[in-house]
Amino acid sequence: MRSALALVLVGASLGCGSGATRWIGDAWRAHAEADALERSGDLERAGDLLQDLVSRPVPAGVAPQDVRAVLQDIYARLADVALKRGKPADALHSVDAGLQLGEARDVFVSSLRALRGRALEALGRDAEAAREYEAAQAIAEALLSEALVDGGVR
Amino acid sequence: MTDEERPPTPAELSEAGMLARALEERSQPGRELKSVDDALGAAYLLRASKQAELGELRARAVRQRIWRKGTWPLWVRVAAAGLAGIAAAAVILAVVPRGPARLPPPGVRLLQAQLAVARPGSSAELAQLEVETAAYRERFYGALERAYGRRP
Repeated sequence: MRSALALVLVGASLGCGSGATRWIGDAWRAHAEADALERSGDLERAGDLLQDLVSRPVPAGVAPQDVRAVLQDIYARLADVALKRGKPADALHSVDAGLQLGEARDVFVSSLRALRGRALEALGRDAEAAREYEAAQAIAEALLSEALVDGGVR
Repeated sequence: MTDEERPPTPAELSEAGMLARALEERSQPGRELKSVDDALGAAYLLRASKQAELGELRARAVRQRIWRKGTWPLWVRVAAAGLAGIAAAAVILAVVPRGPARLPPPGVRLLQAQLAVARPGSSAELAQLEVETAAYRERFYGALERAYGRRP
């Protein structure tokens, strides 16, 4: 009976929000708060909020592909905020951190490649920027072809 | 004349008297131990051992004392077992990585916006990309919610 009660307590603590669910919920809330902060012009706090999120340990229960997608989306947003603040070097740093998580042919990597191009362009490294834009276009065009074959305009 | 009809001998009368006194004086401390006490002690032991047999009721009482089975009502035990099962499932779900979420495919408008900004000097198209990205992000987190549970 005691072991059953112990399990109930463990379950209750986990049931209040498993690590994976809580982490994803936190990420979603961080985006919502960053939206509001960006609208109010507080880009610094928006960046700090997103940076705090990527600094946290990722719970074990999240599939690696989903971890990559969530974090690459946040890194892309961090880079975008840095570019808006006129800090292309910071933007490049965020993009590279996102790309280190892995490459895939999806909108997250496409977005990071385009942002890397913008950061490099802002830093005056036009040739490198052009290569990044091409990489982003290649992914986006492939996905667009698939989307058009599927026939959905979303 | 039979043995039963014969009058008691002085020795038998003396023994009977001793027995009567022993029965009356058992609880007196310091009394001198006599041979009849041994006989009485043996008789008490025999009777006590016969009374101490583990009958059905006594056996049940002993079992209940050793293993307090009936302490919790049945519904409490059933509820605890159910909650324990849920807790065990929660532990498994929390620790074991699940399969990746089925992410929504990107829409045409998002991809067109991504293509529009993937070239030099594309700042004019950024606003549209932000709108499309925010819409996709909503669907993306919706898919994660379906895979991992509702956002707390």
